[in-house]
Amino acid sequence: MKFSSIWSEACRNVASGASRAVLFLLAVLICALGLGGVELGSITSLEQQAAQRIAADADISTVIGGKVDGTACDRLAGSGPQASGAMRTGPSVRLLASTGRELSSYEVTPGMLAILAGSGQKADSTGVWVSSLMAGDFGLSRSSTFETTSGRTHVAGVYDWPRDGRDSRFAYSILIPVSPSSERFEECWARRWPVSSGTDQLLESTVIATGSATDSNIAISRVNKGFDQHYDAASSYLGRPSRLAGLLGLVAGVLIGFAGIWRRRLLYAADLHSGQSKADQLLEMLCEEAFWAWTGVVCAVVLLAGAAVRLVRSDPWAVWAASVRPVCLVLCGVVCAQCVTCLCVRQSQLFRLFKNR
Amino acid sequence: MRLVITDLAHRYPGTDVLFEHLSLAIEPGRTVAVCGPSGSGKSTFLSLVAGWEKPYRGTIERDGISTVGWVFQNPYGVASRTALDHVVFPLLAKGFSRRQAQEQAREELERFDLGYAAGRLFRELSGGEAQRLMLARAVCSRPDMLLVDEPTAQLDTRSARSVAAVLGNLAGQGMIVLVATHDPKMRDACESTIDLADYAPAGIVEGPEEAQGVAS
Ligand SMILES: Nc1ncnc2c1ncn2[C@@H]1O[C@H](COP(=O)(O)OP(=O)(O)O)[C@@H](O)[C@H]1O
Ligand SMILES: [Mg+2]
Repeated sequence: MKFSSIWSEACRNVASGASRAVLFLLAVLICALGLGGVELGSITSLEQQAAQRIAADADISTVIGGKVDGTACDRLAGSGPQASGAMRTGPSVRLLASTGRELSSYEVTPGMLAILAGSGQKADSTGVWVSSLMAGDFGLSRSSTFETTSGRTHVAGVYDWPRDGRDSRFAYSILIPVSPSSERFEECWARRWPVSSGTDQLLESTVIATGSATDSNIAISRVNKGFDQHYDAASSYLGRPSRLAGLLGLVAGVLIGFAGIWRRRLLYAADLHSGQSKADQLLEMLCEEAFWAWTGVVCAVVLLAGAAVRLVRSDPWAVWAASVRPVCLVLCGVVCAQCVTCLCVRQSQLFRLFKNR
Repeated sequence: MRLVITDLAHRYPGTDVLFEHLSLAIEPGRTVAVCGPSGSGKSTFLSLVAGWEKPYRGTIERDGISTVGWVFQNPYGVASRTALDHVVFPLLAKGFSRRQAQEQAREELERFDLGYAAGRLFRELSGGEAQRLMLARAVCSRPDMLLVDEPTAQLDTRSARSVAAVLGNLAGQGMIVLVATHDPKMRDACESTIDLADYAPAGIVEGPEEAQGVAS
């Protein structure tokens, strides 16, 4: 059979409505878009959840109840955690500007400033850091100065510490950078994303063993307790219910592909009987399929790309690629089922198919 | 090319024997009518000849017959495609271009008095027209052996006569043509006849002296 004949037969079948191309196109589009959309939505919401956690410093752990070696604590950054630093309660500070009001202060290692410094901000330890809330109250900003009862103080940085469930001690306080090797600290903080259980051991290793009963008070805590402590981004991604979308897509594709051939099996057998070879029939079937299956899938992929660009903030193409997976599996199911079903229709079945018609 | 049937008998599992001791040889050039009342096994006989059903006893040799065409008792086709498309298809399958195929297909449609319906959709055809379309399509694929099951059942007297005449002439083109029918007009149009009643099992319809023969 000439390829032009195969192609024109396929076109005529589509144009005449014999292959029900519009119906099957809609079926493919709905399945692909539905399953891809569910995947896109659930990955996007996981992503938002993660972004929210990161913004709320929910990924900072702290070791409490012991005495911490500041140098060891600062050194944790780089061996797993992205940033780490130690802190201890400092002397209360009295601002001359505020009539006698006492403000709490904490002495922190330079590593702690790295935790607090926002993106693009330098962990400058040449002066004190104040929370943005306090900075607002006293009209302070980076590199401004203020007078305290113990002299003039230089502001090296302002940090954000919103009230979103995190440790409230830093919400309204002055942080005074000190050398990590000076005395012992009360807590060691470490930021680690994605959360890893190894961080707990690292934190515990910064505690100086005293051999006394107080060692048993050592505990790992979260700076922001407003979030699920056992959060695991990787496993919540792997365990998302929408991961089944791929499987469902394959099943839907197989059903659609199978239905497309099965309803016309008598005519396929008759075409073989009229002298068409199986290879030509398979090719004609694939040409017809191109009109609806591939069109439906391409539409779904394009629509999902549009949705990803609109909805996903951080990495739309990665999320799009993940949501296209079930779409590809729909297509895969359709093509495989069509080929297998088509191969199963044989001329010798014509008599039986005709009788059972 | 030769069809040789030797001592053929058939029964379906759990049913009576339909016919037995059927031996005959058929060569191209002659249209053979397979007659018998309804339920006598005409369709079954054709499917045995086609090789789609295994004989209960006996052998069927299809000497040099590689392609078999069937025309069923009831027409079927793609509802939304034209009569011409149905007839063109076997010619496309043979490798003709659509232009050449359409030319030949129109001739074939004329032969079955369907020229006027070439552009009609299959679903618009009457039962008789659709049946003749099936014949035209089967003839277009030029099988070595053409098996036609009750072609005139759906036709009125006038078209039955013309179809019978066309089928009667088909064998002249070098095909072996077997037509199952209980229509006397069809039977008369064929050069030879096999009456399945002659091969009905002994004791049920006829006495022990069973007819034995070559269709002639
Ligand atoms: N697949 C089958 N299984 C069992 N019995 C069958 C089958 N096909 C046909 N028969 C029976 O065989 C007999 C002959 O059927 P058929 O060949 O169709 O007769 P005809 O075509 O002469 O009317 C009928 O009694 C029918 O019921
Ligand atoms: Mg019959």
